[in-house]
Amino acid sequence: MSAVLDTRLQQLTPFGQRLVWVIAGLALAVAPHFGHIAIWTLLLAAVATALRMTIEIKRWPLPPKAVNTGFAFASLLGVLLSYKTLNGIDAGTSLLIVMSGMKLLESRTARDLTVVVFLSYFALFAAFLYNQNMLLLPYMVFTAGLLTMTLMRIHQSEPMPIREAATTTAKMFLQALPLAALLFLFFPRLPGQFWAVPPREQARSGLSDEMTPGDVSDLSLSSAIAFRVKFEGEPPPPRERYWRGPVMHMFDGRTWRQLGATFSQQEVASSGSTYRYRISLEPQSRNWIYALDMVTRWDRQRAFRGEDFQLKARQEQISVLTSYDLESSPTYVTTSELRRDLRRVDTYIPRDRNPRTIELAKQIRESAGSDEAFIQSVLTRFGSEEYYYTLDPPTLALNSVDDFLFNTKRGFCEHFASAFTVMARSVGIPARVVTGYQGGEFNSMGGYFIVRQSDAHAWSEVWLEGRGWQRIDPTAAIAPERIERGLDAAISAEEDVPGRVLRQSALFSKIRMAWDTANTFWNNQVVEFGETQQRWLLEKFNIKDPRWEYLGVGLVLGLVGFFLILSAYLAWKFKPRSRDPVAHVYEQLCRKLAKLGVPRQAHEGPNDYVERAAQARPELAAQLAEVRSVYVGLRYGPTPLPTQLSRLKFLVNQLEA
Amino acid sequence: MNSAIPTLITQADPVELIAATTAQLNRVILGKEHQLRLCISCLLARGHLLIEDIPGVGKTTLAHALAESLGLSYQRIQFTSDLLPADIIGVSVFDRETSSFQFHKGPVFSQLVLADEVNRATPKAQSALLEAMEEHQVTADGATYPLAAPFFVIATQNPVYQIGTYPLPESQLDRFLMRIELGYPDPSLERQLLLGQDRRDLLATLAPTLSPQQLLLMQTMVPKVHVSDALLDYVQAIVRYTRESPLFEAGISPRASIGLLRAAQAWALIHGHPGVMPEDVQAVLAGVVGHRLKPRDDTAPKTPTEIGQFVLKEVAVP
Repeated sequence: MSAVLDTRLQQLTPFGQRLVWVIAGLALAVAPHFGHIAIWTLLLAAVATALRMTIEIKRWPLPPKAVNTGFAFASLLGVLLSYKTLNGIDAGTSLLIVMSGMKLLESRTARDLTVVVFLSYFALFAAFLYNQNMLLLPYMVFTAGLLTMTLMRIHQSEPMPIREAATTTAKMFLQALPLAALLFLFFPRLPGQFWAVPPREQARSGLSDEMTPGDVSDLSLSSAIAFRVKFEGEPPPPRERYWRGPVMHMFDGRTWRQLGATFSQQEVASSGSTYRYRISLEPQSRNWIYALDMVTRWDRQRAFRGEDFQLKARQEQISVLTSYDLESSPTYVTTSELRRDLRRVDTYIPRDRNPRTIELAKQIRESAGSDEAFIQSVLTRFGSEEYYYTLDPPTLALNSVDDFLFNTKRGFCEHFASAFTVMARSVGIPARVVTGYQGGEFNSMGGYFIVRQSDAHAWSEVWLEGRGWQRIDPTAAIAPERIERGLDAAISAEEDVPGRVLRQSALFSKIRMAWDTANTFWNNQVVEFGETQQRWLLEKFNIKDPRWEYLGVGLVLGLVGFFLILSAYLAWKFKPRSRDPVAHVYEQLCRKLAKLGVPRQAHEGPNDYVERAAQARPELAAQLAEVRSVYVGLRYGPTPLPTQLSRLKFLVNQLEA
Repeated sequence: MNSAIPTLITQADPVELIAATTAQLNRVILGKEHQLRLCISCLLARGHLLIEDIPGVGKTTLAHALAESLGLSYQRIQFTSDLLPADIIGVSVFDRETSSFQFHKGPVFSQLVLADEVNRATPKAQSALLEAMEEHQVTADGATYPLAAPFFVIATQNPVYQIGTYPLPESQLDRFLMRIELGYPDPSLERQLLLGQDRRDLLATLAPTLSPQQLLLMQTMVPKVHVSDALLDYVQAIVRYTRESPLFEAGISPRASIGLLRAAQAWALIHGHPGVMPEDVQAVLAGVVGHRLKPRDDTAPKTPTEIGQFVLKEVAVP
């Protein structure tokens, strides 16, 4: 196969062979963009490439300049129409890729190919704007290496063996590595959005701002990571690991929705022990920080606690992996009163929906006597009656809570939370649904928790006079294993949970943890390396409170120094072997004669040169003849006398330039 | 300036002796003084000479005139496609009186051997001569016979594009210290040639200007000519250039670099230089390296002379 390919390659002209390499490099560089930019741009680039290759094989002439220009403008227009802009990552990348194809179409010299290779570098590194995955790194190193090899081989007049090109590339890579590391660590990291990767419109799985029965269970099928948490000291027990997300107030009989901002700002007081931890959120399309209930300390410049105690980032979207240092207290009370308008919202249920549920709630409340007793008996009822906790709940009718409580009796956490909240509201207790995550998997290798989309959860909060908002998790009543041991344990063995069998294998679980530990290291040490980490690093070097301007100047000076030392070393390494004084005087002579209009040619021997000079300047002939004989005797003769050197110096000085 | 050279020769110094020889040769071979001096340098450096040119430019005459002027015993071997090694080195003949084989020495046992049109013979015959050149001795029927001293081979060769030639392989070309071309004479000299005596008659009038002893002595003086560090730098720069340049298939061998230095020393000796000058190296450069470098493709200079000139221009004198 490769032999066939080899002979096919041999049939091409040297330019054609280089073209094949350039195309291969371009294809590898563009490949990571498959899937997130407009497909037509990739297709167009592919067509242009195929066309260019056909032209090369068939030895056709290249398309005329006008055609190329037309194509280029058409594709520019295409990108503009596709994205409504030429700005931003997506439009920019598309443009880059399309134009690489167009450039290929008009490439006829090594210089053109160089441009294509450089475009390929850009396209390749643009992939990092989309995805900072660790797996991408080896791919990028490989592709960048291939591009560098191609670049090198384009510029060799001789065909350069692949092995030699690879060796040189590897050597250059290793030589560049310290410099890259230096720049990575000390290049000024500026705070603020301007320097950050711009957010992109992209569908990402995660919690949303509304909840319909079935939403959370759907999300639970995904094993994508939502965030990772590392605790300082002892982690909280499972029953305290509630990661708070958006809170739902408004119910239309089926779907729960959030309230507008600032409407439900409330005060909270915490007491008792606290947990300090660092949460690293995977990119999401929101700015929600899933803090442990109840978050008490956070970086106020980067985050704020909004309505319903939900912590949010001070940016529109957490578009890259981001970490926050937080502190939470599991015991807390709401200190402010429940506002009347909010009380009205949180006790509202559509009167014409779910009549049987309302009836049932009222009966229980009557027999219970108090709100607390009512809650307890509802939970007991959930635990004792024939309710099933399942990932695959049946679709519910219009009166969803009625249908669930009295007919299907099979539900996931959101069904139970929804039903409980409706029942509480039926008897006038203010109640709301909280969504978020619960639990998490402990990675003993890295000492942190991984919280996945499959840990998505929904629970209720009720307002009790004098105690404020209290968390009530109906799921804990029906399926306590869910809270203590996670989803895999809570769902009955007959039901199919994606990946459960695999997760129960010890080896797989070990590999998965090791992989995640490596990923976390990559995320924390490389992707997340920013201003804070740099500050910390500089403090290690005893540089307190560095300003980025100084850092920039220092870096530039450092680089200049580095290159000065490097050039000094190279100059020393390649300097002419001995600075022989005779040679020095001869150089002086050559300079003088050059000024007299007789410059020495590099390959000219001293006799020939001085002879020529004497012919050009007959008035100096006698002087030059002596210079020549003394110099030649000194430099090439057997036993030079020291006096001859001073004579030579004297003679050369005598020459009028 | 000549006092720098150890005066080992009592009669006269090499410069005068060689000048006299060249002057005499110049009467026979018109206007080729540079080639004649190269030829003598090659002899003094104990190398062998390859003259490559079209027939009739005076290759044979040059060899013959050189032998006469240097007082050397002279043999000419005309190489043909049916030439056998025995025709060169000699043959053992059964002697009836002594009832034993007697070795009859071949033409190679002369001091100056002219191998005419060496590339007309088969490789077998060629290698018999080239081995003798390398070893300075001949082995036949188990006995080893030393060759004459001085021993100097002038081989002539027709340009390889001519019909019926067996071009010498690179390995054998490397055994010739120098390769020169004679070329056409100048128009004025050609006129003189047309008007003048028959060259063959002129040859008869030549008297030796140098004894073989003087020649041997001068050969021992060649390696003693002073070589400075600066000059070695230059020679090494040339060698390095031929090895690193992408234009040639391979650089010159260490044997060739020694040869280059010896030839330059010989040139310096016969020109009375106190030590070897860059110009001495340049003078012999084309002759020494021209036939040893093989151009890789069309962009490289092609003929040996062009190659020599090209290398000379490319390497800076330190």
